[in-house]
Amino acid sequence: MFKKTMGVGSLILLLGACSGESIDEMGNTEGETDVEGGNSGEVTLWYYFTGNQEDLFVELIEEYNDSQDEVEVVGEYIPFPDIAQQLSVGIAGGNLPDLVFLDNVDNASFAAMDVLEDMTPLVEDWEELEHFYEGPLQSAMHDGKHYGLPFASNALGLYYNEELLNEAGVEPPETWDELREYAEMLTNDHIQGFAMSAVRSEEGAFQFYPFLKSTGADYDRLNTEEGIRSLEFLKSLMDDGSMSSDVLNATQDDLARQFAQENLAMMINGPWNIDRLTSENPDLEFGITQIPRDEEHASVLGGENLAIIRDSNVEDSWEFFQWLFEPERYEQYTADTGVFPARQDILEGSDFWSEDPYLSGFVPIMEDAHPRGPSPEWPQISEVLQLALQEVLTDSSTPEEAMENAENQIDDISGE
Amino acid sequence: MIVKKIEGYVFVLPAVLFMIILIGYPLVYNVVLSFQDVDLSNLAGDRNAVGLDNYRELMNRDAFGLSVWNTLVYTVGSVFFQMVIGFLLALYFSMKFRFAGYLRGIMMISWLIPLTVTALLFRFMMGSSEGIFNQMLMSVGIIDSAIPWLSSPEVALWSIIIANIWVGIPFNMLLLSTGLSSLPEDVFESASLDGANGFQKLVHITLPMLKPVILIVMMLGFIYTFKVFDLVFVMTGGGPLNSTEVLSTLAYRLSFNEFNFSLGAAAANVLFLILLVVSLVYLWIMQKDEGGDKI
Repeated sequence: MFKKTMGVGSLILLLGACSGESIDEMGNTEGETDVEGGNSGEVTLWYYFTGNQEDLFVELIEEYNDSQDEVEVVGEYIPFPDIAQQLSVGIAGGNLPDLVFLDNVDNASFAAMDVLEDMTPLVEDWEELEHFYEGPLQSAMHDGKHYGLPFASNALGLYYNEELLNEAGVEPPETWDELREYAEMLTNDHIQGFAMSAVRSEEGAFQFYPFLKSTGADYDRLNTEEGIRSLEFLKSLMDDGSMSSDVLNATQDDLARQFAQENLAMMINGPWNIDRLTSENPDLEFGITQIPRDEEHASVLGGENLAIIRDSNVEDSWEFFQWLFEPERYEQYTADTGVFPARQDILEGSDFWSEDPYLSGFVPIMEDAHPRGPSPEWPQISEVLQLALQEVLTDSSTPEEAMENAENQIDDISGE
Repeated sequence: MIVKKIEGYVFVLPAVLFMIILIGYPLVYNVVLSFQDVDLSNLAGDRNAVGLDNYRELMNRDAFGLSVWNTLVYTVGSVFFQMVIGFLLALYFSMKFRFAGYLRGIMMISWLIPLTVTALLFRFMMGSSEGIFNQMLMSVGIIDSAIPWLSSPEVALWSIIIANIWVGIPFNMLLLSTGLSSLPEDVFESASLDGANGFQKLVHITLPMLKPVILIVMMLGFIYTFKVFDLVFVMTGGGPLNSTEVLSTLAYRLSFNEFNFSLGAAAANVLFLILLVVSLVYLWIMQKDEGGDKI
């Protein structure tokens, strides 16, 4: 029976042993031998891209390895949900990569936990830095220092089913009032007017953030008229019947599936689901626009940052960084994979994004995309936001109670 | 004599080593971890002993008490219905009608499907507007409005219990079937001669004679169910609110979302302690049942 009752924590160890082996096989120990030697070797990189993004990224790595014979970059695929776990395993086992892709929301907390190299001295003299968008750049900063660079960005927008909106005779909603009115008009026995993901995970906080920001509130100003209004509004959509209580357990992929089946007239989702919609239902006619606003249009920034692990092979890693971000190469990769570049000069200088029927909808959205936090305590803050949203949507609390409670908890978290 | 004794120890040595390395070490490590203050920044560096602080902090979290309660409700609810339904099915298939053996085999399918797949299927079937559960119940008029299976804090835990009952029935049925078929026929024959009806035979002969098997199935079911993770994680992730948070998902969230490994270890240890007690009871029952030579 003992075998069956091993705690979760003990898994860290077992996993540690396994992953340690696989990295050793590739001949990479901790990389400390490389620190003084300069160009002497190998850079391991963990990425979580899949599909087209992965194929093209692997090609990039090969191209870099062929272009010079001093540094060999070795890419290793880690599934996205496992990145944080694998990093902790790597720390416990002493086996870490030199470079790692991170969800931008985790960048600050990993920086605060001393996992990442302070890149400020490197990027300060780098002339390309000024071309990066402020929001994505901020997401890689902690205490005013750079702990990574944004590689690919995304944001949330409003997807709408053109056919259904035409039938109802309405344009895509611009304001919250319009959203509420149209969502109710579009709802019938078979179709939900509107849906967002209010699930109990980071996705829920990610989706709630644009609504919070649109009022002018933020995670550190929750118990305000504005903060309360954001919850009241979402609750009103549910009270009207325009938004189903299913959203409490719906992931963004679930929403995309319902939207593709035309059971959903409008939803909040990101550009990574465009391919899914067009392939699951080629006849679907849909458009993408800014999330309707309360005070101002606001969206939330997603995407991945590339960071260097502390005390790893920094010099060689930085060489690869610079090569990767060279304008032509970077533009080619981001355009081919349909993600948004974190560099303003590229997004504005190219007509790839502005001419794509769907991605073009996201171009204005990117400008108002706010990074979550950035805060090293984001995982806990996120949980408070998820709970506040769910308390209100399940009628367990009023918006006032939920926000008062949430603000107290966030004070506790930042006070620690 | 002495040589013989040493010989015996040599033979058990591989098993003991295996236990110490793969089971003992992680357990001890987890206990040590729960008395330290480990997060990502000092996972490989200096760790401080903090005594019982983690356990105290755990007690102060709203989610903790609730997750213990949820785990208990989930376990007792699941095991009770799995046993009852499993027992009825075992009785049914013990009637030895044509194809009974095949049909019983087919019943095992729900137990063989990977739990993650089951969880995903139930998640789709329990969607409140598009799920097949509500559509079927509404079309035959059992309910008027859709049940928010997984999106209402009051209902969600029971929805997961329903899924788990479906998963666990075959396991219970199979063990109880084996127990039933080992009961001696002659007792039933003589009861029939004395004029006992089917119900009397069930209550006064089958159940008392099956008691050891029932107890063991119950214990195994409890242990197996109490440490649930995948079903809850995939179906609701612990939500809505904390309504389906169980000890294992809480431990996971503390460790890998908040990176508070020590707090997560403390939660995992609470889970372990409860199961340890239950396992000891199980071993005690086994020992009593089989004359003390089984440990």
